[in-house]
Amino acid sequence: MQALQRELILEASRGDVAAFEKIYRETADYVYGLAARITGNRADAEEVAQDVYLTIHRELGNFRFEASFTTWLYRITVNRAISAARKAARRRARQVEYDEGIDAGDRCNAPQEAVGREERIRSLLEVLNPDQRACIILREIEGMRYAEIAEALGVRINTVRSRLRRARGIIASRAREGGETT
Amino acid sequence: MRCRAVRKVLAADYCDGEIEGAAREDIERHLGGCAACRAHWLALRRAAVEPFRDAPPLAAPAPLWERVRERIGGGEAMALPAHPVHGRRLPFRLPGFAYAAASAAAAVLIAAFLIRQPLAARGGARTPPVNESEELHEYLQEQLALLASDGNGIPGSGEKTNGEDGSRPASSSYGTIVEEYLM
Repeated sequence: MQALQRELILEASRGDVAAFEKIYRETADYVYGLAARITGNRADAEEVAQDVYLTIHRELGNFRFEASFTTWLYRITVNRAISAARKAARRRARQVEYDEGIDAGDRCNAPQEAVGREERIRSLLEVLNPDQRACIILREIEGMRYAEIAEALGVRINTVRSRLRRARGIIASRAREGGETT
Repeated sequence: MRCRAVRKVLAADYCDGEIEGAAREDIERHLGGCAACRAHWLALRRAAVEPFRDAPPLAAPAPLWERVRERIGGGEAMALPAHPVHGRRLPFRLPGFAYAAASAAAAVLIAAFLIRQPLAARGGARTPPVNESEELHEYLQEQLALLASDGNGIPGSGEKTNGEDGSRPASSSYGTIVEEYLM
């Protein structure tokens, strides 16, 4: 995602809808994509993205350019998405006894060749917790450095390092289990 | 033990290009000589790194902006002037001094209203000015003096009695009547 011009951000903070829409157009795919991959759910991602832009609109007047706008956007998006993913996980845990049978049946019947790249990514991310998922996405898909991820998530670099290591270990372990069973 | 330490670095810093120089060369030297770690590294890359490398971009759904715009109260109303007028907008524009003049006029009206309030509380009676009050007092004194006289304008004799029984002083009696009449 390209850095936004300072003037554009200032105009939007003064209530200029056209400037705010420009910011939205520049960043919406990124915000939505990040939210969709962390939550694993399109409806939740839309809710998160909407919430992110309402927050930005409300807080833009307080933005002091001490951090980059992009980092601020990352942080808001990731935090909202992780929160939504946790809520969704609790929701699923309550529903699991009703949905488990149907869900397992769908997975068994789904033809492997029909699973696209995105579906493959979704299935890999699904086995991670929201914090690990956010780290993997920011690193592997967004190409961020550890320091940038740490800043976006508000955690230490060592936390980023250990989350990535743990996440890759889980994914590789699931891959081995899948290879052994098929 | 050495392999375990190398695999920890492989799964993070080495994989992500976060180590360089001598540390990286050390890992590569180990991989060159350890088939198990080399296999581990290849499996790790294949399972947990490569699938993410060509992740397709996801597009935000088109109606999302409309919903955001609706929630932020968008449209033309968001293009606020430098000094926004809060609340309902006027159908016309007023110059800046008009607001100051209107405020001053309102302050004068409120002050006038508050000053009149004590008079209203006394039944609307007007307090006579000091000069009027003194004139009235003098007039009453003159009238009392005339009434107290013997009828020929000589003051003093009425101080004694007002009639045959001499029951009360004439000045107090007449004074009360005059006061009641005038007031």
